[in-house]
Amino acid sequence: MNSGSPLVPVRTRLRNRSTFTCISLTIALPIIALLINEWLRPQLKPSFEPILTASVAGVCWFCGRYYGAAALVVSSVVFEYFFLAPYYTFDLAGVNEALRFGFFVAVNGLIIALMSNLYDAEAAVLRSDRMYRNLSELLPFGGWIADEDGNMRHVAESFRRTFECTMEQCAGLGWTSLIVEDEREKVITEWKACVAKGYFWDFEYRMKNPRGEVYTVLSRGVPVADPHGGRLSWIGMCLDVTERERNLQERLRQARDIARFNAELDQLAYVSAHDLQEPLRTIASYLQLLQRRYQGQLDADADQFINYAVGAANHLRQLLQDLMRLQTVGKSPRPKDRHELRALVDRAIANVAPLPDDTYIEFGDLPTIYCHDVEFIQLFEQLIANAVKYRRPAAACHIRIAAERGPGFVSAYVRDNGVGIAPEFRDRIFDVFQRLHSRSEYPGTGIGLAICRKIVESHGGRIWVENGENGGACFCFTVPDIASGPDDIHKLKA
Amino acid sequence: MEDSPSDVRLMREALSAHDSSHELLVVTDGEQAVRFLRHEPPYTDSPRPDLVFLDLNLPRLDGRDVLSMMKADPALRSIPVIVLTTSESDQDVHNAYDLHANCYIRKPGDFDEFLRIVRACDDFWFHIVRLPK
Repeated sequence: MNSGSPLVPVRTRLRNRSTFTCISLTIALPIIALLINEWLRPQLKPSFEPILTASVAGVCWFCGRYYGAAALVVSSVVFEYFFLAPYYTFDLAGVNEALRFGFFVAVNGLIIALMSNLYDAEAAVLRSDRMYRNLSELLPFGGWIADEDGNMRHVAESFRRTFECTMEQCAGLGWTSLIVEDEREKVITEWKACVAKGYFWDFEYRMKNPRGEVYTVLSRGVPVADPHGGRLSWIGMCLDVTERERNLQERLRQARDIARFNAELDQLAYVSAHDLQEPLRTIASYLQLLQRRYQGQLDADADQFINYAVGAANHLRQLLQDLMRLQTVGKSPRPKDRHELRALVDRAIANVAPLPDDTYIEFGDLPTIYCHDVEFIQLFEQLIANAVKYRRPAAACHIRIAAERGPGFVSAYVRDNGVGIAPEFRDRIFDVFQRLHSRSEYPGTGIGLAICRKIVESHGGRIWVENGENGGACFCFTVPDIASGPDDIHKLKA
Repeated sequence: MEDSPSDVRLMREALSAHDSSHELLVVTDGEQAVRFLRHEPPYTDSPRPDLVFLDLNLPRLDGRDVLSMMKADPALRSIPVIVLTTSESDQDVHNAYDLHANCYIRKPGDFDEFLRIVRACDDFWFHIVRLPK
């Protein structure tokens, strides 16, 4: 706590009377009561109890229950000595006197008890009030209190300090003058509506202090109900969320920049791949014409040169087409939907057909999945085609496809008993045009798994490869799965 | 109707490889195309083509405009038009058919493929299909 902190000590004496005052009151008041009684006796013949009781109550009020008790003792002594027969002694004459005395002590005891309850209650209220004030000063800009009509009654010290205003300036609707112009009308309208209806108040707006600094304020409040019904006041807090707002804006800006950059990159990649195909077409066509026209007419070297050139041109065309295929992943205009995995896999198998005779595909559990159907058919096509392509020549090709649903995701795999993938290559194979074999061993450009990865990642998922059956490979992927209806909640729980 | 000399030559080579007896006439921009079809100078003696291969991207007058002009003219609209072009965009395909092109072919990536297409066109349009006299 800094010096000048608005926090107040919570434990405090309710009424700070000095000890001297209390002791003097304890002794003096009963004596004064006694004197008053003497003075009034000739005219009114008052009984002594009420006045003495009043004096005890007075001491209790001013000094607390302990002094009240002490005053009771003094008063009882005075009462007994001066006013109960036999007078001016400490004896009691008879039952009547004893009863009177007892009654006097009892009634005063009760009064002291009642008053000390009141006193406790008041102290508790004060304590709670101070605790609240301290609490409300802990976070900028602190708590506030308004009356039942929405007029601000109290704003915290940190608020007043930041916005350099006084309590009077903020009172009523004065605080709204700190709100930036374009938001002021709306806030005032909303606040008035909220006060009228008694809703929970939750609003964010910007305020400017006299120095021109703008803060984003999150204000929240609740109406406090009167125990008899109706509303007593409004109580709430203002939070300084300027930092949070700034961070949010920054992150949004970055996200926008990244999205724009990615879109430009995508566009560039697509246009390049597309435009490069044009001159390539001319190259490939005329190389082929050369091949046709002059094969065997020039020397063997020329034939070979032309063959290499034609092969390279074809390869280049394949690469460009694959790049364009990769490009179009994740840009499907169709919305995602829930599909039966089994149906998607069946389509994929149909597309890859005809498969060699000794290819066996078995299925495990295949739940539903939330995805783009076309892209996932492509995904399975690629994985199944790979499993068939990279099989062991001597053995029959066994492929197992299964999936299971987890909390918030679906995980699936395509496992084969083929030639497998060594652990050190298991990351690289998902890169564009990365291959582990030459094109003469196995055909292909190495785009397949890159497309698979892009499909899975554009669904927010992950793909990787593990050991398969008998040294083969097992391609696994998980995709986040959102329930899209009440039925799915049941399925998710199952 | 093709502006790229290399593509014109490819067509000639394909036709000669196919041993076809058709005569290939070439115009290299859209304006020439219109003049040819309307027998305007310098094409006053031009014959009426039996079949037109049309590239969409022609200089001076765009291939799409030539196509719509042909199909609007009662004297010319019965001539089958084969759009033979580099674009594969769905938009272009749709527009071409919308303007009543008879078919749309994307120029293939190599000569073998091109030869196959030319053979198929010859087969289809001159041996399977009957053309108006």
